[in-house]
Amino acid sequence: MRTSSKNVLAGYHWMAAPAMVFTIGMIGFPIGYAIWLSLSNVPPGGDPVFIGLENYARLVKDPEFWNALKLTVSLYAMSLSMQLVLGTWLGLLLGRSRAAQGLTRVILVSPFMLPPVVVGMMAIVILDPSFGIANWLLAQIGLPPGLWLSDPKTVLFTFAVLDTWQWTPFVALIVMGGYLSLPAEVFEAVELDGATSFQRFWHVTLPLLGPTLVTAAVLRSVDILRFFDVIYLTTQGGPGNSSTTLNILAYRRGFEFFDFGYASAIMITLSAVVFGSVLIFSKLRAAVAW
Amino acid sequence: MKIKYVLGAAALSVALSAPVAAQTFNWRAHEGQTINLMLNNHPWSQAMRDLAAEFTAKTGIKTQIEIFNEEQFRARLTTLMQGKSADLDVYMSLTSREGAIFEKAGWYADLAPLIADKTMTMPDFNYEDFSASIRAASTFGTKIVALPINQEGPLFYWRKDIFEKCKVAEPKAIEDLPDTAKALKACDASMGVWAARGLRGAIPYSLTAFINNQGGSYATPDGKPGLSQPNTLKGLALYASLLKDYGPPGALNHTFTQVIELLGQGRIAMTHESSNEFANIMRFPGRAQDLGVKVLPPGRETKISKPVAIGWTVTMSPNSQRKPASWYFLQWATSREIQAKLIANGVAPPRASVFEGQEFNKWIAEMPIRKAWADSLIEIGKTGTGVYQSPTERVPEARDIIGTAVQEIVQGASPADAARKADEALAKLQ
Amino acid sequence: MVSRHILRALDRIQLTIILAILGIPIVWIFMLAFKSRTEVASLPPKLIFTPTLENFVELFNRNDFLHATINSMIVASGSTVLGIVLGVPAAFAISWHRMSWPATITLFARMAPGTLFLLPWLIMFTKLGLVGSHLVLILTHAAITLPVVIWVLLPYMDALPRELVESAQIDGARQDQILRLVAIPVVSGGMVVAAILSFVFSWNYFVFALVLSGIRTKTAIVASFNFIGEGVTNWGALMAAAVIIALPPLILTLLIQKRLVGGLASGAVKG
Repeated sequence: MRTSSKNVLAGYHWMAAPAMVFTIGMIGFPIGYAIWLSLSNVPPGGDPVFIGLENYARLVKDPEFWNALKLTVSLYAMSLSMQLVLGTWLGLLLGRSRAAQGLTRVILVSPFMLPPVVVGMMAIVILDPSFGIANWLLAQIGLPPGLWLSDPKTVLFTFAVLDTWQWTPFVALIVMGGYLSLPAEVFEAVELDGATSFQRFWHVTLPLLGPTLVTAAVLRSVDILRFFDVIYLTTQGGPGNSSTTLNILAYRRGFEFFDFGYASAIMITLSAVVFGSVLIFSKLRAAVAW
Repeated sequence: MKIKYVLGAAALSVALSAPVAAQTFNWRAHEGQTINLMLNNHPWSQAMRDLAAEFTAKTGIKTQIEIFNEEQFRARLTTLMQGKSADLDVYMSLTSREGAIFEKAGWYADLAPLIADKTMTMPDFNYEDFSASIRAASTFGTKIVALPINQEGPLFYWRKDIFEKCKVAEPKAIEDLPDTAKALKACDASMGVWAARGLRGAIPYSLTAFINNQGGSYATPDGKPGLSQPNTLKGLALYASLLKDYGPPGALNHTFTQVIELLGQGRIAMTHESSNEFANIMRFPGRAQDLGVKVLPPGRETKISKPVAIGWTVTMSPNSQRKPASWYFLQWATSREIQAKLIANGVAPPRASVFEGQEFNKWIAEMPIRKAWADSLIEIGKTGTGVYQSPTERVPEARDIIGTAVQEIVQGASPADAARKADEALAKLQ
Repeated sequence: MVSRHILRALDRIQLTIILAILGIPIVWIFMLAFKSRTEVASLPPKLIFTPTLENFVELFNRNDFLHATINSMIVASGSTVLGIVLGVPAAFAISWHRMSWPATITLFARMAPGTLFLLPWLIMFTKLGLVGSHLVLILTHAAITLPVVIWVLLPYMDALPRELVESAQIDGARQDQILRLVAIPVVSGGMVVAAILSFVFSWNYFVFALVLSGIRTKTAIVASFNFIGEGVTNWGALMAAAVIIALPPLILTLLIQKRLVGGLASGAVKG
């Protein structure tokens, strides 16, 4: 059917032109400039001097870089898997109980509409082990206090939990939409087969939700890999280097230690990682299509 | 009609005074200009925001002031400087920290010619009123890069009432602190005993006296990183063990914000925190009555007392298009008259004449703890040091490495191992 | 049938727990904003307290937070309008011609860390004499909200019946008329979702305004975290600022939650 438009005159390409010109005008120079800086030595106050791939060679030998990459990937893995699992569970719960109405809907949407800066402030006042309400509440029900963002062993997981708190409803709403759009006949057929509810979920619902989950995963990947504001406001990468992700490392190298060349190399690498994850998911999307 | 007349008269007086201004100093020589100031959130900056109207009334120069917290202040400043922005005229700088880097980068204008120029500087400015050590921190060769706006350093705050109740003596030597803490803990287990900075980059500020007083140093005698020296190790270990054994949970993310909150709420018995926090602490109910403040006790055998003593400064950007007007602000803000007014805001004046002056002494006499605070500041002004890292120009990075070593010890690493690792990293910065 | 009742009850319980976990922290922050400066972080927490407005007075009287809030309004509205003006025709063209690369290009702005743009943009906009203006913030924020507009609109555009457009073409309608009179009325629901999301993302965005704004154009997000400082930390004002910057997104949420949820649910399925 789609091809029928071909014989009718229809060149709408120009309508995309203003947006393209704007985008390229805005981000073309910065990305080009950042790539050039990443190939230069940039002394504070001085002009960049081209040094080829030296910054990248330094990167490969820098244990701080590998540590930051590892932290970025672990934060990513923890956040994304928690959000997909909890999001699927909540999305199906919302879908079958048709509960996303009124106040419930407002509460679901609120966390991911909040400014990340506010989430950072919440983490500071709620999770501080000395005067946050979180440990006080734990103590009331007889649980031991947590160190949350203050312990190198728990800091990354705590950030993952914070991001999961904020974004699980987002994933859930997408999953709910996918679930509600599934053809009802499929479920009726399985019910007649006498499958248990788990079998039904595992063999029918989940595969059918594949494309929806991949969409949710792409949207979250781009943000989680660049997770910045909340770390910047709370631990600034600490304790030690235990939450110094690539984004934080680049920030510290550039804006605190005045090494813009090296910082740019880290930022470009991070952009490549994000781009790579988007590519992988778009391949995956084709694979799970039904 | 009236307005027109006034304007006309003003224009006339400006026209007439212009040739005169070439020979003598005139506060109104740059009337009508507007300068942009970027300040770090600090008691001095808050006070400046309130006092700026007086500057405008005196000079006819308008000010636009923006205040950021330290992290954001630095990010914005670094970017504006690296991008050679001409919008920024006046900014605050901690020359003991970033002075060497900024000077090398060419981010400071030279103030020396301006100070020497009688047509540009008020006759009673008296630059020598700032003590030699304070001046030295902002002087590179013959270049004066900034003017001092305050004096500060970490002080030992303790709860006199709790010490009394528990019959624990005030520590007389720094080595007494663990026993003091132990006794306090034994007396009231529900009470927090100690708190101090545990956030990586913030640690060296309060750590330094622990090292110096026990005879240690960040540098070896031949100028190499020296955290592994025995006396330096003692300092690292003492600071870390107090945090570990008696500090609040979550101490490794704590800096002044959390430490002062704990002290203010009355949940800890002692700490080593900034003199700047004084006015803030006094805001909490009860603390003006039950708190004591003094310089951290010296080493028992060494008798050394050498805490950090630094000062923020105010300076101007070399890219400023309004340098004369900016200089007017700088000299006004650091003048004797204005510094005397800042005392009530808890800003310790860097000018000797203000410190010894009537206004300051009157303010001190109102409360015993103010006297103790002022005496401590005078003492650290004489004994303190602005150097609190191993020799390097890359000061911020070096302080991070030192802080990381302390964090590792708090988490159970042996002081010797942590120090060796830090020394290796520090050597790369030299 | 009993088991079905039990299952339904279990669903209710799970949902209630989730909603409590999501909602209580937000309510808690709102409560803290009405406590006095020295009470904010005190433990045990006082659940019953005399609410005070002192933090908001500090915020608006001494700190001119109102001005920053107005700046944020200008920037978020401006970048939203710009994003819609550029994004709607683009989404239509992209969807009609099944072009994927233009949509991908706009996404690049969201794949690089925001800090990467700071120094280059400062240099670029200093040359253009725009640093410190509202315009520079509108432009930069639009660069990151434009992809949101396009990607939210794409599924709506895809759902537009092609026959509608084709019959308009046969009737001799001009291309811009087709966009205005045929496409836009059909996708107006999606445009509302795109506009609101774009407004909220711009409102919430932090790092660009930190460097590119001037004294007169500082946004509320940038101004909000400046109540911490040695000797001058004010928890109360910080919490009040958190409430003020959280309010516009939450109010918009309240107004459009139904459409937004519908948009998210349908958008992702088709996208």
